[in-house]
Amino acid sequence: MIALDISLLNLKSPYYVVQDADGDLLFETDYGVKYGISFELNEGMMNYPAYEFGILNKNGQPSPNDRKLRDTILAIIEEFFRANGGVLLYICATGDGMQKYRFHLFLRWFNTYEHRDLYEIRTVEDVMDDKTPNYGAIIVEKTHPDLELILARFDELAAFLKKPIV
Amino acid sequence: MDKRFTPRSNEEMLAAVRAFQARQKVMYDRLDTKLGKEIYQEEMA
Repeated sequence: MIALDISLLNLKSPYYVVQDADGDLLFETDYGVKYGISFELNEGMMNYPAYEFGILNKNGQPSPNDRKLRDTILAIIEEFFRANGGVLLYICATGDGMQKYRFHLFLRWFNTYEHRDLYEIRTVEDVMDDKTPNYGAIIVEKTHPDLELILARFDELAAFLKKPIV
Repeated sequence: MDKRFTPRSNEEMLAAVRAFQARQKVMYDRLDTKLGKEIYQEEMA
């Protein structure tokens, strides 16, 4: 389970976030949309320890103009890096066919983050896996001691994903 | 951990991607189950 200071997070987060016994983060928006967020350590995908960042919108209802939602997610990411450092790997889930929309909304929000300049972000977009388009990104602090290696390994992963996966 | 960059074979990459996808499905299924409940239930108890 990742280390997070939930009290500190909730000082910055517009929506009240709870962390359950598994370490998952849960909150509900003013519009009744329930969100679940998880960070899971994965070493295989990047051949380097990275936390997979998962966001689930239970209701499937888009909220592109909910500024409090954007600020809550950015507060969670900020607290993740404050407490853990490391590498964040975001690969959009594909089950609902909304991955392109979700990915670009996430990027748009992250690019408005006040501390955006502290992070290196690399993306891979529209790579096909059995006719399903996939979207993903890594976010890593520019001061990370292994930045060059991490980016090289993500580029290797991106190059693999851009080829037809069989 | 080996911090040198050593290219992986296609087979290694594919195995890593498939393992990731399997874990991702478990994660989203778990979140989906939790969000079906009252989020603040434990907090309020």
